[in-house]
Amino acid sequence: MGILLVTMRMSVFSSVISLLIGLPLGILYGYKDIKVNKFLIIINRTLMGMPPVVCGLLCYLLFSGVGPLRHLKLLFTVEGMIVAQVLLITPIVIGTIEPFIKKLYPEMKETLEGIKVSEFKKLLLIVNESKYEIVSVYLIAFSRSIAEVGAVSMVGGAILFKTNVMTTAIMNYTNMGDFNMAMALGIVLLLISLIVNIIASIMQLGI
Amino acid sequence: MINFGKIKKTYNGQVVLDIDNFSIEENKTYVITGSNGSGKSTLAKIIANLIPDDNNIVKSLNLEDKYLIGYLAQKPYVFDMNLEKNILISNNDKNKCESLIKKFSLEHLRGKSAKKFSGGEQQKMSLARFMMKDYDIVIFDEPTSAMDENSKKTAVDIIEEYTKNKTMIMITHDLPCVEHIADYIIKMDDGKIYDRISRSR
Repeated sequence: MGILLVTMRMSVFSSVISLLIGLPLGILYGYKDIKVNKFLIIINRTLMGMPPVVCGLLCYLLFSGVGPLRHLKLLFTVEGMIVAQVLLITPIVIGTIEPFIKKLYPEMKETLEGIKVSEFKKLLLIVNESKYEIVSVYLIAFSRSIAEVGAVSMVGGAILFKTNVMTTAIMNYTNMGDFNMAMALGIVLLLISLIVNIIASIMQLGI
Repeated sequence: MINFGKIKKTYNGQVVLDIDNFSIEENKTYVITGSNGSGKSTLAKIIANLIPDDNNIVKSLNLEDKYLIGYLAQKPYVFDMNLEKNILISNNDKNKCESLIKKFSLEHLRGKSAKKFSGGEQQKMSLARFMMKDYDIVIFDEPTSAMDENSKKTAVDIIEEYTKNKTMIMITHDLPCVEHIADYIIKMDDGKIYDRISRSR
């Protein structure tokens, strides 16, 4: 049960924070046709492919006893794992929503500029028209978060009753040869994913 | 009098618009007609400052410092919201919204997503949304193309009432339906104006 709570806390917080950071940036990159955005999109697409263990290593070095962010005391904590997850998942959120907005906005642009809608209202309308896609993007972020092993084990240390999540527990049980336990945890993980997907799909039907 | 001078527009090396000395009088209605690809919509978008002409002449006039210019696209975007919310995008005045819904006979569409309206219903809603604001220069690009004959006549009457004391430019293929409200009829072909007829209303 403890593992489940830690897993859910890490996954929910990291996916929501990634969405809150990534969504506005993805919309901005998609809707503003300026040269610097093209460069930023290339950088973002590169970051989408960042190996989780590289991200984990980076966070470990930053938060470790000799690292520049050691005073934050995030190493071997759930909060540190969330930070590592956010660094991994935010580029994925941006990279998923940006092409959709790039396609959507030109369809709306003439209408909105013709009736002199403010920039702020344009952004609200873009979000409104992307509701369905935003839910899908969140599901991608959540799925990525709940399935993560490399970065979370490096930053969290998989400490029993503290930072051990389901994926690191599956890895540990497999290493110990306890395949039954590992399999059971795997099935629970898939069930959690299924429940979240069902809830999101019901929300999308309502949209 | 608003003098635009020479308006030229080139797309991919092809000249799509080339008008010498284009000008319009304030508070007059101009109806522009012509074949497909004659440059009518391009001219309308340049005047509305949505796209630049080749020499940025229209932008350099800074018309938007002096006039509020409204442009209604040929295929206005319809948002995934109900009727009232779509109309209120332009302006939050709920009383005006109700009055326009009644004028355009759109009451039966309440509660549905505007994405599910027919083409004619979407066009009426877009006109209502446009009229929520009081523009000085009004540019309509085929505002009634998807409507049936009765709806067209009603819409043109509403447009005539709305554009009293405004400058209006209307692009249309249905000249008989709107010529009675025109002060000038401009005929275009191949990116040029070949006829400009003055009418008394």
